[in-house]
Amino acid sequence: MSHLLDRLTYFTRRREGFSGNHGQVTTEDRTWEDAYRNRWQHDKIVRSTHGVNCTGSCSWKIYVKGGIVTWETQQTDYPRTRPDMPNHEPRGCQRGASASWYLYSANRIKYPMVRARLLRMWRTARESMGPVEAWASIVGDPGKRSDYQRVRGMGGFVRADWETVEEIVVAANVYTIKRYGPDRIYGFSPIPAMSMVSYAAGSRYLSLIGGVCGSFYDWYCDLPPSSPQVWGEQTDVAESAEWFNSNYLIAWGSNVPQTRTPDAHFYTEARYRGAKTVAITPDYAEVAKISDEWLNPKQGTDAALAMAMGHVILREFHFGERPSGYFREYCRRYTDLPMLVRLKEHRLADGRMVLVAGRYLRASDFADRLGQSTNAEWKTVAFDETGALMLPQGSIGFRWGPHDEAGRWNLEDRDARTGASSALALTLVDRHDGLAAVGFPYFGGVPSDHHPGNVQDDVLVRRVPYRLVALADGRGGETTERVATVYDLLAAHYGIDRGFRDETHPCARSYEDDVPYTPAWQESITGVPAETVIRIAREFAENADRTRGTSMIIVGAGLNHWYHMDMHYRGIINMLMLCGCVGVPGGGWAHYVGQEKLRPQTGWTALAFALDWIRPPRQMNSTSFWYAHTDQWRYEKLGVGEILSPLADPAARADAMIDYNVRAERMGWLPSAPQLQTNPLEICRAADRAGVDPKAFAVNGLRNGTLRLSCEDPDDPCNWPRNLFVWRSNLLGASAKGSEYFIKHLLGAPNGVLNAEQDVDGVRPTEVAWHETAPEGKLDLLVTLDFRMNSTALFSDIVLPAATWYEKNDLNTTDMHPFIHPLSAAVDPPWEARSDWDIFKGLARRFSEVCAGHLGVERDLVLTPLMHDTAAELGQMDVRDWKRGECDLVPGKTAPAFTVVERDYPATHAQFTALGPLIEQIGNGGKGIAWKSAEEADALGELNGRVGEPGPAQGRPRIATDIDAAETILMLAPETNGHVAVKAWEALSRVTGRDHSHLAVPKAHEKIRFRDIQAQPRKIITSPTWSGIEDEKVCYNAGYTNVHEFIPWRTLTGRQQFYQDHPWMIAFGEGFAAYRPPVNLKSVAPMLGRHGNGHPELVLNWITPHQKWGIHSTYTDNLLMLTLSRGGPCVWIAETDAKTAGIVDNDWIEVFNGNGAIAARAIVSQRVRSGMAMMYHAQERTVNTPLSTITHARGGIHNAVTRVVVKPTHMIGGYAQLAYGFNYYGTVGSNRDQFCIVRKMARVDWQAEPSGPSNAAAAPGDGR
Amino acid sequence: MERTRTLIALARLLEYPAADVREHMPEILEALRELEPGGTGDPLESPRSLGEHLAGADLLDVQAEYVETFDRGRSTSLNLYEHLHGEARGRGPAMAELAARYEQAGLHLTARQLPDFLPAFLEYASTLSDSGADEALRPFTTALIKIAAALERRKSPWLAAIVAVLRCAGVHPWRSAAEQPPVAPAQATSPDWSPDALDAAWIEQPIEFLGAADPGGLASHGRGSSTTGARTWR
Repeated sequence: MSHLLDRLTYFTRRREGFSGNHGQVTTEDRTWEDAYRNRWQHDKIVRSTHGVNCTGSCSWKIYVKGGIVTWETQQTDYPRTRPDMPNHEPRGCQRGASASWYLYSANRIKYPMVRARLLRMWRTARESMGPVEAWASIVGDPGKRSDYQRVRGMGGFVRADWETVEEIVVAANVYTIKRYGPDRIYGFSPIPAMSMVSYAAGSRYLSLIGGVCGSFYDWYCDLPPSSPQVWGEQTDVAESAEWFNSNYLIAWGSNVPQTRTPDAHFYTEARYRGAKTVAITPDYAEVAKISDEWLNPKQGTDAALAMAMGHVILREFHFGERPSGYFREYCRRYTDLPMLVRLKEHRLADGRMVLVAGRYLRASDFADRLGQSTNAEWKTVAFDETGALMLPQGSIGFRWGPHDEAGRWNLEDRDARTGASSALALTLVDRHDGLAAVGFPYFGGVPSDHHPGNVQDDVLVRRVPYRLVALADGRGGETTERVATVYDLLAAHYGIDRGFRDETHPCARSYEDDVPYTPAWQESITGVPAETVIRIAREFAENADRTRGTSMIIVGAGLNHWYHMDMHYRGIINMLMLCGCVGVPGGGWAHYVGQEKLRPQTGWTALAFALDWIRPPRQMNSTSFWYAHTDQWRYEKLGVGEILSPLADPAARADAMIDYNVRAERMGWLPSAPQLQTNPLEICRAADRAGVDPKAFAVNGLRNGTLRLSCEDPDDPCNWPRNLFVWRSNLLGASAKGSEYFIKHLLGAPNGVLNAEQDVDGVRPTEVAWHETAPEGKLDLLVTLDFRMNSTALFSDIVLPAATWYEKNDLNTTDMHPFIHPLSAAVDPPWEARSDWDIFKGLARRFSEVCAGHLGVERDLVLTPLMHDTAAELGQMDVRDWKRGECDLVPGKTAPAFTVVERDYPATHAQFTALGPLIEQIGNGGKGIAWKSAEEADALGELNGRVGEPGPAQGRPRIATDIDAAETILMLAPETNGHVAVKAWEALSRVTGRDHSHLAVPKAHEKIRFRDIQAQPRKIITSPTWSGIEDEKVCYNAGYTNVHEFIPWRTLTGRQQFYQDHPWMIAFGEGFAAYRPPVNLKSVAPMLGRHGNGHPELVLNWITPHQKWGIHSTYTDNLLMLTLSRGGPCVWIAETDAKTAGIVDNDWIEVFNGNGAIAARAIVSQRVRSGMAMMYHAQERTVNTPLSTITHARGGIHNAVTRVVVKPTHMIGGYAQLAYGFNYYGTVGSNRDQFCIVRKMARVDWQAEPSGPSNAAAAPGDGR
Repeated sequence: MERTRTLIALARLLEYPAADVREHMPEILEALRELEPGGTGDPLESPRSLGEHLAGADLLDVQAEYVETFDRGRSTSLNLYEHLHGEARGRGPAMAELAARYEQAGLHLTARQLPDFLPAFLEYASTLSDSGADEALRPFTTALIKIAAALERRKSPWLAAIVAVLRCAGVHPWRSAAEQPPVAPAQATSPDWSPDALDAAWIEQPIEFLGAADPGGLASHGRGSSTTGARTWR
């Protein structure tokens, strides 16, 4: 074409060029641009983030126009940290970018909702009765109670006004307190770090009225018990920027790009520095794609791989020809490897005598107690390099000694008796008195349907050098005993041949020997080639040796959700400790699951648990709670005998799992909820009537049997949890392991439990009363606060509309970066929604009114376990149960501590909204460090104003709004108030005898306020609550102050522990890390072929990892995310497995076992390893979920086929680092060992028709 | 102004049924007399039947029914932009514009509701002239038809109110106005569970993000139709 007709002949257009005529200035009409200008116009931008259970803590700009949130974009103004470090930003992912959808979505809860059947009865009752009487008339009548219980989860809600719902909720609370006791009111809310004020709102209300706050981290199974076991600390980890400083990074069971999306760039950027990255995952996960190398062990066998790598490290870098001087020096100083262990005689089943590793040698074992007048039982002993006996400083006995002995709890190389400096001996090989034949338990051959393992003798006998020491024989005389170092025992356990000429079970002479724990040995278990294991382990250790510890392992849920997660983790932690990586910049253990790190922790605990008014609060480990109260214990199929050590007393097999838990509660190891079968308010009244102290009254009652612990009869109506609050959580749609048991026993609604109740091999619990019929519908009232109609809300009796993350003021922190971040109210909550703070404040106000005439100033008896980081952790050297007459009942020593507290019930609202006086009178603190906070209380009064109204709170600092609450946290916490940080470090310095205040003095005058962090995220101040520092030179990394400031780890030995010497740890075979195959939960066999539909059945391991298109269940009902994924529940299976079962991609399949059933679509992929089925959690049953043809119920969720199984070693308490702490130690809800049947569905039933015109009145949906 | 009363009456019928609305039901129905479908019409499309249902049934039952119908899920949502913008980013700006329109008309939205809540919009429309109301309602007829189709699938009595609104907007009969006739009530008759039908329903489509990548449908309409030599986009 010539363009003749496109050209003007007589004119030229005026043109002005720029940029070398690449651009032109024209004069055309530009009003079309206004369309875009208007589109991006906004009135204001507000900083907020997403308070969802994720570790992002990403800064977002929320755009508001005309009072409406129009969109959000990533904020990019994080403070720069260090030179040579990539920026943190932009932070935020596809999920966060779609959050504003929730504000105005059709799924939003807009009004308070009540189950219509309940409201009808309530209104009728209220016509003639007061609120508490009305509630009593409903729940006191079994017919009325079950009338609304049995339609839970089946719709039938009506809107109600706030006035009414508040009245129902508090009437239920008052009635429950009065009738059964305050500890029948339970609250479940997860991960406070993501919105700590919102969490604190509910927990403050519950703590004031005496209710129980349930833990979450352990329940999610995100809590690694190995962390307390080894370090005496829970999940203290490096920030993600520290990955960049590492030179060898292994991501092991952690899918960084998918679950740590805003941080993953550091993982890849480290490679530009020359770091090598290795992914270890059974499937071809996203992290495998971005790593240099991928290892794919069979799921659940990671401990075998870790043990083999540890074998290589020990063989080459500790006992090889050129051992690493750095490794040995590190292990000598910072681990328990030099500590001495007593060897005990033991007769094997075949009659042979061997020695076994027993307790650490303690000062108290010597006739002169090594001169220690206090805590000699809690001071461990070693030899120095000259062969002289040494009492190293830093063991836990020095932590809790009298004041005049303070100052020796540190890791200086000194003998505590003389102060003389001397290096500890790692091994006795050069000056031993003999070689002992020591037996080690071996679990690799434990029979299992799905894990053939590597069968060897179950006790491996190996030679270990020992020395003889003269110890007290307990009868005034002396006896000679054999002791060995942990180091020598560990080497023998790992099968390292040191030329001791083992007879029965020779150590490995080469890596090719099929001897535990060689690379060849693991190959038959994990499937990973031995050669690869040797190479990776060698590279890992060599890097650590040459760079002094900059090898790092990122671990996650892929490892920690197994029953024997401790073994996976301890196997890996051993690698890190043997290579001197922990506490070293660029190195260490990085466990990222859950937004666990609440940085201003000690400021928050005061507010959250109302420690400013009443101490102690009631706290409960949720795993044991749900295990007991959802009656999952009645279906227990794992026998204790299956997990006991072959070296343990076989008598222990006679018990059921729950027996261990009951004993743990009785001995004060684990908390209880409820605590006593009798109402604790009534106990105090009865004691008053009898004229005795309530504590003495209760102790006598327990001794003579007139009082009973609730845990001994969880199915008795007196011990049922009656009211449950769920907020910031989707318990029944996400974390409820054994969700069908929850629905059956706790809620009493139609459910999918297929299992018959069954005892293990005829073992009925001995400690727990067995009711022939298990109760169904224990809960009187389930109240949920949420902004979206999720599964939990659907099952609730009352649903309260909560504000979203753009409608409230709150605080947010994460372990992934050191900044503290706000949530801000960009707009007011629409409809009838309110912030969590306002909702619980409203309940507190209404409670104070409604309780009049029912509750006044009451005394309440509170039971508390022997808490970690208090002197009570030096509780019980031996396992003795007072109930069995093995010792006396001494509260706080051999049993829970008993405290009488006073609750001024009508003052609940006054107390809720003001800072209480205990902050000045007793002080504040955490993790065993305490300080006075009078100045801070004063300053808060100036900042927030003081209460003017007469009453118990008059003159106290006001905490009326969510911002007031945030300021309270920021004022009281050392991380956000420099003066408090200095005080805290000074307090710690008195115990360690070393001055640490230099870490905070330069920031003494820094005070972070809420408006500061709204302006820009702020970096926190270094505090002794955490073991890393905030610094211009190094990134935050755990263990830094232990290594560099010589502050002991909070363990028995004060050092990182390879060895666990508690009798239960030894009985269950976990003195040392070992490989233990997944346990057999026996859920599949009884169901095979029982529900046949003509399609072949597959048996697959049930794996439920974190997903890409949602954060747990949040965002899984968001169409944007559903569009990016399959758009409904789906299960990934391997191509080969699918073929055998005749399943093709996108087929509807059913997944089931004794616990329940799930209907979902199949994704057939080569990515998945044969033998496993993966369902990303948590896909809502509210989205595209048909009925199961087996249970005829919708769903269920990924947890419909799981059942929680507790592990006795997690119940240990009163024993240094193995002592209870909220979300610190306790039973965990593991779920990965489960197997299920997968088969194609023959027909898909959506049940699109409602089960009746309405569930308000009698409906066809009634009954089963 | 009959139109004013009609639109306000429809707003009342579409709100959460409260006790006091039941008392005013005769007045409401009187205002809607002209919108009755007549003797042979579908009783589900009769405002009178709806009114009688709301006034006659047990209040809690009716309220639970309303919650089940309108407080959950998007297909029957009474927030109009749920149907026009869905999850797309245009929704927020669109709501802000609508709120600005109310302000320009001298109306301040004081109830804790979003601007695109249908009863609120009907009240706004009631303040306009008849032609102004028509014009205001017109852009929303697509949304209203979608709601009507969803309500018909559920055999919901509230279908009558939406059909009446559509009549006010000049859309009558509403089914023929629908671009695509509403899907036959699949669940009521015999659903087609054959593998082919399921596959067809679930077949993977290219991700279009609700049309955001191609808002005007240019790619599909413009392709191949050019006779001017202009480049076709793809």
